[in-house]
Amino acid sequence: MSADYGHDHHDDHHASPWGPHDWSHGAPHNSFAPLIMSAGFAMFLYGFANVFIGGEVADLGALSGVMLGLIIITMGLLVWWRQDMSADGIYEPKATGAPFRNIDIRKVSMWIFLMSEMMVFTSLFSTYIRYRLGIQNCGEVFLSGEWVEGTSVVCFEPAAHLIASSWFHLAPGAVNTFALIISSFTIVLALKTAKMSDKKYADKYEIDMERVRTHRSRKVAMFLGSTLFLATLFLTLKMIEWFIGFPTPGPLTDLNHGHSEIASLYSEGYTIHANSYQHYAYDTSYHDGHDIPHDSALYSMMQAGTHPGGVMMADIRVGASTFFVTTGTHGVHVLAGMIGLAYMTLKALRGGYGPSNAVSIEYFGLYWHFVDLVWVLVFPFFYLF
Amino acid sequence: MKQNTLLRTLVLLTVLGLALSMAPQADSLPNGIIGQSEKGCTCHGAIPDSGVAPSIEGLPATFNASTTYTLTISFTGGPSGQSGDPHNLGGFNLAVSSGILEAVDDTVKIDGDQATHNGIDDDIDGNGIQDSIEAGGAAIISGNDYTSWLVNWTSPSSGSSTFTLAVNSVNGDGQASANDAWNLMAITVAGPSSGAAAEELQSADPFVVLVTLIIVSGILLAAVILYTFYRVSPDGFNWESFAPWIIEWLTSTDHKKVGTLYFLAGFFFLGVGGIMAMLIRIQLAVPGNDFLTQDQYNMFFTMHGTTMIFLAAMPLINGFANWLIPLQIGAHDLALPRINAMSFWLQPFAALLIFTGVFSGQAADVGWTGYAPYIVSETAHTGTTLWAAGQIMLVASSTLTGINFLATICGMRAPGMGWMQMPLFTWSIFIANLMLFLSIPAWGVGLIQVYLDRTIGTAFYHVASGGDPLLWSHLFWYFGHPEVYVVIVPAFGVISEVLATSARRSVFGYRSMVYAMAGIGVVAFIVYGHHMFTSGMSPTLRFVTMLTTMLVAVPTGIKIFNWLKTMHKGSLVYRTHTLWALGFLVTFTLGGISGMFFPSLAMDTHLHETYFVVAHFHYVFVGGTVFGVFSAVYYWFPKMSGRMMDEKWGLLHFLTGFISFNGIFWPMHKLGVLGMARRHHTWFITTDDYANIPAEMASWNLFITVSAFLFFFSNFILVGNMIKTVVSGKKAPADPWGGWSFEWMCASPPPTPSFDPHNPPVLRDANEHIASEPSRLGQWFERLMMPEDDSEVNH
Amino acid sequence: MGIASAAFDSLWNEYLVWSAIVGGFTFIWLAHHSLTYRSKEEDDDWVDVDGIEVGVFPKHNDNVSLELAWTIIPFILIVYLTWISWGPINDVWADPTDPDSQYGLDCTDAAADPNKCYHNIDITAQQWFWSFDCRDLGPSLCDASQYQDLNGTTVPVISLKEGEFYLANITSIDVTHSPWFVSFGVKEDAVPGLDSQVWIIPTCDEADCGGEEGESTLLLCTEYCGDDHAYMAAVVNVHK
Repeated sequence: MSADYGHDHHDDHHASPWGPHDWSHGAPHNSFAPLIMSAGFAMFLYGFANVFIGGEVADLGALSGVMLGLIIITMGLLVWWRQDMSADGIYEPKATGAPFRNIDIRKVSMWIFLMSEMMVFTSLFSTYIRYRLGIQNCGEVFLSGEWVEGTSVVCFEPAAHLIASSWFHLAPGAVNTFALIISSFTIVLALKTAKMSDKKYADKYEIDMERVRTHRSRKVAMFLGSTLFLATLFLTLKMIEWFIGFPTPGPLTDLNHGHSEIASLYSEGYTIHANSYQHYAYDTSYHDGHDIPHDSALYSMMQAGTHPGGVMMADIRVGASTFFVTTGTHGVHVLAGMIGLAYMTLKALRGGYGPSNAVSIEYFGLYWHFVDLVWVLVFPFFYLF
Repeated sequence: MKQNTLLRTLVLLTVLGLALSMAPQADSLPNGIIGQSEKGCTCHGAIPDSGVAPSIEGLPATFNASTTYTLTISFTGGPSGQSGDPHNLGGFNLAVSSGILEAVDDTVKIDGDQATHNGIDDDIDGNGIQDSIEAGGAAIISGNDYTSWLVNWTSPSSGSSTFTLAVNSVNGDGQASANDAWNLMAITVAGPSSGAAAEELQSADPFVVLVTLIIVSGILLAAVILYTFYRVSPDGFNWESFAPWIIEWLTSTDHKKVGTLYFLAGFFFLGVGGIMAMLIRIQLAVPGNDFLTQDQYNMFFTMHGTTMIFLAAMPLINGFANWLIPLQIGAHDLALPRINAMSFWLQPFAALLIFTGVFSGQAADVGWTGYAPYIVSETAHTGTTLWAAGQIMLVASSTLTGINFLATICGMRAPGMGWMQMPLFTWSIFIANLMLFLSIPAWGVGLIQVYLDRTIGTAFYHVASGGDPLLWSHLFWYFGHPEVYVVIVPAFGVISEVLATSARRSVFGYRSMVYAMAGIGVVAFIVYGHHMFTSGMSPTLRFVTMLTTMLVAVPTGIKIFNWLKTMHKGSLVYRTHTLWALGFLVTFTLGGISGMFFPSLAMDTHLHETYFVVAHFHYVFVGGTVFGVFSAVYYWFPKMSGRMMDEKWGLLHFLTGFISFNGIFWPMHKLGVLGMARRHHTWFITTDDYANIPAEMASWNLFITVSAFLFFFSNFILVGNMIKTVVSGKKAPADPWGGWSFEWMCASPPPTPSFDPHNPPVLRDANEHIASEPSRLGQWFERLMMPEDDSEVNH
Repeated sequence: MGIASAAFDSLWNEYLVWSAIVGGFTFIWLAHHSLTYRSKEEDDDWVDVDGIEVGVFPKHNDNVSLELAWTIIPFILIVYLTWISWGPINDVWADPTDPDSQYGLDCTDAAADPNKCYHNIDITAQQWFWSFDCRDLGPSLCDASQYQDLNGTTVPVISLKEGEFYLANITSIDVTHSPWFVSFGVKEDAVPGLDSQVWIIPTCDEADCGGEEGESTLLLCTEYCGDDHAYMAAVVNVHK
């Protein structure tokens, strides 16, 4: 079936589908990675659906299915990377059609991909806006007095109410914002370092031309590694914020109103299952010290004796779901970025990046900047207001 | 010659007129269908009342084979006897899944596998006079006067038996009143275990039928694959070369091989979806049929829709896109070949997840639309979670496909091929993928929300916590409506190519064709609200979408008239692909016209969710997309396989397929208008008391079922033709039909890589202007995209 | 005699006429061209008008005025169809608080015109039953206390009076349902957590409206709701 176009390297080379590949020519490259990864995804989703059913842990044994799925996906990824490790950028297909002529096809593809990513987050924000505006806010319900102690009311409780109530609560999110912004900078540094021509590089760092390669690979790996570190920091802080909490010892205790630790969202009761959520701000006795606003209906009702006061219980599952799923989706994007960064750091260490293929870093950077940008939107909407 | 033509035109018009005279008539009075409850309870009161406690005594924990047990049926609670009147205390209905019921005394009567109390107004001989009156006016003994009854049950030889008992506690006033209450219980008793397997085989469970057929089809598919392997080199056949051969297919990233894989998957699932359609049609052939239980029916129509759209239509379209896009634009492969393989391989595994439920008997039963909150409710089957999971993988697959085709078409066109020199099929794939790409993430997010709702218990669609069911409808239809254009637009592309080539003309109004498709692509995003006219959505939104939906007809009309004009002064050569294309024009026009009834609101409130809708979308899905696919198969199969298909078989396929297709879906318009609602597992012709579905509906439904089987089997002609062609077809030349685009320049079958990447073909343009020079806007955009000094990267 | 509502009938008939015109036009054209320009490859009469050649984008075959014609003429037809569909929208979505609408105000409203007012009824859907509530309406206007056997299922009966206007307030307590008054040609989804409304104008086929017993028609569920979806019916009885 194969036709000879008169170029030797078009001969059937039958590269192993397990890789690595000879990238000095175009397609096709056989690969096991798509098959393996697809099987892994199916396994993962299947296992996950067996572990949890309707909000409860139904079968912990199925966790092995989840793990197996993850292992298979990892195997697929390793095959994929093994094939790509040798890509040196000599063969980089360029677009031929207007209006993208001479632009790398990979770049065009990445921009197109980001279009769909934009739609993903638009949909998540639509969900958020629908519920934020469509369901009465818990604070308003509290002040309206339309609740009785002991019966849960459905209302929207933005995570920001809890998070923005104290600087300590906000700290992980705030640090994360800076971590991501800095990581966008470090990835640009990595690109700049990789892209510099050998001569320029030698001039800049005042080293011999022979040392450029090793020097550069260490430098690029360092910048990529810093990016990876910042991404890891991001996810760690997120876990602290969601599940772990952190202590506020010594002088911080005073700043934190005498509490020696900041509880996680989970231990504060802000969870997707919270159908009887309680918060000190929704307690009239707490308000004795802080004053219920005098123009509120609750205040007049309590003055008139028609409302006994007490603690309001709220069903905040929808609000919590939008918070955790939106920030979680962003977190998964960071995780995906980390996986990519880990590979790129490894490749950089092996001297894989030079001026001829530095664009790979650029195209990953496009994605990374996008993730950063999304966070810049998520942060005010979910953490501040 | 001229006279002959006139005569033929007249005959054709007469036939068409006859067909149209079958149009739903406006003078019959419909009233809908009513059902008989499987719970078998003709109970008073609307809602089961937990205050009434039914019980069955005398049942063993496990029964012995063919033994008679005397069961005592009784209940407590409810208003029974409160009036002090010992008459009219209550009633019961006991249904058993196996074994034989017998009455012990007069208080109980048996009807097949059901037992119920003997009522005072019974009319067992069915002569219209109550038995009590026939017996001389004296009230015969009434089972209503008791709260417990005796029934003999003779157990079957094996298997287990389920007892469903409904009891009714009444207040004794002799008629149904609001405080009458009833309740249900069910109990399953296992029998001797040894015979369990035999019992399962005995009952020809439609599920077993389906699963068996799927497995058989799978085995046949494997056999075909093996045979193909054998055919590749019959002389040098040896098993050692089998592993490399199959690995080559499993790992290939070549667009043609992946395309072939898409075809395999697509045709396989077309068959599976077809089998499910046949089971559905058997169930609906006669009124009150119990071939399928409602449970099974609900799973089958859900799986049928999901399979046909996502696992049959889309892969078949992707098969053609994979094969032809690089060939048509003169590229050596797709932009991202490995991503392309990934797009494909996600699909079989997604299918596996979606069908996992079928094999466990708990497949999704939510409809392909999966409306919330049913989809997250506990009454929906457990397979729904995996259905959502599979769909998430399909979303991922479609996203990757989108990136690939958009990048390929944007960036890899051969020199000389500007945007306005692309073949129309390429244009159609471009627009379809753009629509899909921009809409499917919304659905993906919705599916993830549903998946998480059903697994870890988020509350996006839990109404009790404030979740909004309409949010799902919006996310779904924001994708769902572009999706239906995604599957029809590529068919437009196919028809444009086929008709123009067959008529030996260049397609009429190339530019308006492109603008019309682009127009459809834009309008697709603002019309989806017409699926929600009766959903409680805001009236303003309904009004806006009514206006925009009406607009869809304009670009579609342009395309149809352009196709017709393309034939003008041409030399139309009748090949099978031409016939399918002409058939497409007929069915798609009819489907388009029936589509115009929905945006008109006062009509939509009646037609929504009826068989009129079913008829409409099958006219566009099958009469549009599938006919387009058939046309494309006959048109491009010689290019792909290197062999010519059999025209005689093709003609037979067209005639049987086209006629039986219309036989299935044309009468459905009528059924819908007269009151047959969609997604009902059964329908009844009731007495004249209810101005109801007239008796002729029964004949129409039977007619539809027969046509459906004809249509199903007619497609085996195509499969047979393809196999025959591969085995013994005539060798195909490079350009058997006289097309102009690049694929006809390659040998049949084309080489790999399809074109030399270093020396791509150059498109010439018969029109005067120089195509390779981009327009002013294009030049501006190019300058924008390319930095002046492209060795520096701007950040 | 009509299929559903008066609005439906007039639109339906108008649409049928236009469908026949558009369809007829298209099919005559299709039949004529596909027979007239038929050719066999070996026939002498096939002409290569456009000089199709592989690898060459073919000569444009277009005619701007024709293309504009079949853009503009269908557009005008669409505008017309939209126009005739526009009127009945008021019937479907009349504002219950608007005294000038054709349904007037709630009859219990002091400001309502007794000759032009509507009655509120409630429909609650549940898997797989309909519950009707007539509020305070007398049995001559609305009665929902009866149940009836319908092919083995007991279904509720709602009796309504011909010629009156009813505003059905619909909601669901579990999943989405949709009551379809088959003979009145209206339906509206019953969405949990949402109160939707639909106007009902009971009509009869016979002049005497079925006499004493009234005319019985059906109400079906038309939004898929699970297992017994097909059995979720009710009888609508219309009397004078």
